[in-house]
Amino acid sequence: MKELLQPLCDAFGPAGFEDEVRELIREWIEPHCDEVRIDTMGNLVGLRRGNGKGRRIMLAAHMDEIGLIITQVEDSGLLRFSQIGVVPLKTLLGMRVRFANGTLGVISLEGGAEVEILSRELPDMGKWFVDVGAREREGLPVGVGDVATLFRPFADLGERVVAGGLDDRAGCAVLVETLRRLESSPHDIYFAFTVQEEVGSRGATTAAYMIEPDIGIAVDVTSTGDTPRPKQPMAVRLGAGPAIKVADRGLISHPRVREALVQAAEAEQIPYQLEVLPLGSTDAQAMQRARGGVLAGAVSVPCRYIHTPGEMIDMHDLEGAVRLLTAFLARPWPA
Amino acid sequence: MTLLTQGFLKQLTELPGAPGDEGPVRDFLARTIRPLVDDLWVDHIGNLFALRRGTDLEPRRVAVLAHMDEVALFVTEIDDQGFLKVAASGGVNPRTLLGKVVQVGPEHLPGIILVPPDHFNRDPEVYRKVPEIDALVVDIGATDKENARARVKVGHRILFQTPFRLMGVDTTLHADAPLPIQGRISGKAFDDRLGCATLVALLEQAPYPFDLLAVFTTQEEVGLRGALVAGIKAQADAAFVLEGTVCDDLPGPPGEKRFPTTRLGNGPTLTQRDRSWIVHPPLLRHLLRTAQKHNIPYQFKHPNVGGTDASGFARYQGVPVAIVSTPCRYIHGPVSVADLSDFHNGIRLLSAAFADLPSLLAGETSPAALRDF
Repeated sequence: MKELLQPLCDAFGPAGFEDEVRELIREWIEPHCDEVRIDTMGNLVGLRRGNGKGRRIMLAAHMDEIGLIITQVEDSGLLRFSQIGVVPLKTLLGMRVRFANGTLGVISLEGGAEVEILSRELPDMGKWFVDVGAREREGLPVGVGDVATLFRPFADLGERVVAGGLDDRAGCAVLVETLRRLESSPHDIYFAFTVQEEVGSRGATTAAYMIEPDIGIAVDVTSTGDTPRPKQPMAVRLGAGPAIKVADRGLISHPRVREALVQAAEAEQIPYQLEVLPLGSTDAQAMQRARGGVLAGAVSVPCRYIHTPGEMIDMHDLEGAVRLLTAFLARPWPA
Repeated sequence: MTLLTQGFLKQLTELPGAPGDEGPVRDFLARTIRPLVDDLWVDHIGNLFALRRGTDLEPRRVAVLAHMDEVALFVTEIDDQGFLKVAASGGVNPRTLLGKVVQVGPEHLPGIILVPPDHFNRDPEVYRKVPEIDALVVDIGATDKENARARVKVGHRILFQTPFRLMGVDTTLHADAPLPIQGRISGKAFDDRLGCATLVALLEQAPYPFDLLAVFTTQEEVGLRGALVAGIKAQADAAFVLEGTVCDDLPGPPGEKRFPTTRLGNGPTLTQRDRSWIVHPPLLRHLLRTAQKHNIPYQFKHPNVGGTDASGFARYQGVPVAIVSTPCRYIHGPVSVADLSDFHNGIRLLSAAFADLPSLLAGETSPAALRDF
């Protein structure tokens, strides 16, 4: 699946600017869907019809990632910025950024990076700027409102991979591969590649309103508790299999959804773990509250160092997530 | 004869419209626009809707929103001496409140937000610090608790009492004269009565090729509540949100050079993204092209700050939505300053953009085309 994952991670897609990711996925899924739509928000939805005896199931993985947005341009040509989604300030100093038009830049700090890097304190947002190498304001290739991502190349470590944007291109890869492998299913399955999750699941909210699913399952990354002395203890470990979500900050998975996923995993002898995530949430919380309420849950790919340019996943977990979803979708919904 | 007179804007901005208590503003707007529209109604939460039918054979429906409410305080307690304790309705910074003149309750009783003179307190920790809102006290001139309770009830709204003014050399207001083309104005509640006034002007210039559904919303300042309700019912194909919004061209700390993103007088502001919503890119492009084609000045709003009814209205159905604002200094305070040229150019931009909007709404990703998916 690295052949899916690498181009997905290399694609540019801060929340609201998912076009590059969408085009990539659209090409991959079109041959495997009965119908493909892009809605007004930019969600890409592929419908795979069942035999009429199943349920209406929505799977959601988000295409967007965190990033930066230019808010002010100074006479010197230096650019002030603000965050899109939760971008930890600790990851910024000295980092390179890339804008949609290919412009590159570097992030620095008032007071002199050489001095500030020795300081114990982390300056607030207003003290940071991007330098794109311009001599002055005139002729800058980017301006107010332009967005950027941290420069975060894909690295293949063998069984594990490192990249920025694995949140949630890993989920996108799982959905694409599941769609490809799925032979037959009783269900009408809506494969939704959503926009703007990182700013509050806005795409999943409108997609779920339109689709009106019976069951909604998000596929996203989750944190792990297997690095030294975690401040938020967590049972999930990298490489121990896909995680079936029990709860996070925005969602308590419906017990029937959780149970159906567990049954599918056990029937196919797929290793899995149960996930309780103390911070963060996913598109499942938006699907759960759509219309009159939806049975919602999530399948998560364990990921270390989320929201840094060095997110890490284990390919066995990714493969396990595909097998789990494929098994779940092939089975009838438990009566 | 335009409705946009000096007296109209004076009346509109001076009327009290605390969140959830916008009755006086709603009644005034309804009276004003009734002759301009085909249908007029108020929903359960207090949004005022007005429909002006379009000229196309099968017209699309475009909603245009402006909120009637303004930030306010309300009474939480009356103390033994007859002073009022308060809480905020909307984003109010206590730094803007000390010593201000306010109007209290449905009778608009005069009140003062108390600030103790320095004479009584030599501890700078106390008298130089801004108290939190729950430590503020309003003096309505009551002699004791009973006297205050005869005038005011817990829950009564407290609003700024600020006259509308023309600024500059000739500040004489002529109620029946049209608003000047240029010059600056000051007054309260420009966020969002300037949006309401823009919407009235757009109704006055109707019809358009599409059905224009004007929505004057309630409770924006406390969480876009009116717009959330309106968005589900309206079944709109697109929406525009009109705002009086922030302008960051203020002086900074001494000696520091500032680089404002928005300047008063440089044109209406277009939002790319704020804290609560990302503007529909094709609609934004349409506005930019319209501005360039008609040579109308515009500027971008400082990205990633604030939130508007756009997010409430589009939240569930993903209606394509754009935001056009008149930049205002010092919003959410007792008095704002705006430039009339920005206000007029906003109206020009919107009415020009409306003229060739329908083609934009006919594509395969339009809400109408997607409804049966």
